Amino acid sequence: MAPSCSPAFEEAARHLEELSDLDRLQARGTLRIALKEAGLAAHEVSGAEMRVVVEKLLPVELDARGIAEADALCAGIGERLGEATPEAEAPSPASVFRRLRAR
Amino acid sequence: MQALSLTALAFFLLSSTVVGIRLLCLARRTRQTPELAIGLAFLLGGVLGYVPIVLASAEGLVAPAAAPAMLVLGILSLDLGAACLWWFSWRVFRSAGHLGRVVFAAALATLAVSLVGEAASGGFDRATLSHSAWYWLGFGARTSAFAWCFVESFLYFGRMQRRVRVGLAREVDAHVFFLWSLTTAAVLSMFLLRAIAAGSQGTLPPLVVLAQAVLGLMAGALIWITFFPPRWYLRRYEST
Repeated sequence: MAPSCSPAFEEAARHLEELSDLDRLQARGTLRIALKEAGLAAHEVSGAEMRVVVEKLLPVELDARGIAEADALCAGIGERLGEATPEAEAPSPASVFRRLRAR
Repeated sequence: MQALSLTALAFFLLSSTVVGIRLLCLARRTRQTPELAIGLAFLLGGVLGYVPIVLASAEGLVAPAAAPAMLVLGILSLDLGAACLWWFSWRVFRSAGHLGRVVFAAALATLAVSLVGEAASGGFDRATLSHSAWYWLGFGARTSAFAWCFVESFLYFGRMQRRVRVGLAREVDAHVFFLWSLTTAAVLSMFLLRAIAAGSQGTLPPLVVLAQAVLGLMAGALIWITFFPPRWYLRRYEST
């Protein structure tokens, strides 16, 4: 069974679906590909990380799928992504290792 | 050659003991389980596991009647250390989904079966231990704990490098996974050499002894740099 997606992923996927012609499956799939490019997965991505992915990587993925005005669309998603998007529940390996080697 | 080998083993055990104690102190402060698990893994899988086994295996260091009890103590400690390492990999790298839980449960079951099998077959005799299938079953499970750590941390290093490229992570936070994968690869190689050595009768070939010594020194140093990074290392990677 696949792990559940983080709140930041759910929110970004919903906005992408609303602002583009992509259906639910296409929007989520495109977002997952952009996350993979950033070394992230849907279950762990935080709000701050999602904003970076939407700004830097999602426009490229949307361009590649022939979506018009990808930059403007991603700027719209970025604006809608709330500052207070809840973080993923489980701490990431990176945060665990940062704690383990803290002085 | 023998002196180099012993020095390397001593350095490896000292390094894992100091880092293990430091991580347990951290766990006491943070009340978090990953530091508890990895701290216990270093202590149980290092000094608390190997010292009783070395004492029991060497001629004349302990009374023959006490040797089996020492072996049980050592192997039980190594198994508990491996279980902690399995748990660490599961909870840190595979906490989402069911795969990590299934792998952890299978590893625990294998360790338990090997212990019970060894006890039931009248084992824990230093002369025959390395000929027992039950011993090698447990050895395989302990070795696999390091193999899983290596795979997970190396894969995660690749993902962290992608994050560094888009400005989502610092180089120093990515590089720690490379160090951890190197550490576990060194220990894994020591285990594999141990298995090869067990197959050879009589004295070990000098090349095997040398390789074990080099790997022991490497693993000892890498454990230290991974969990207790020196300032020169931090300066090097925090500046990139």
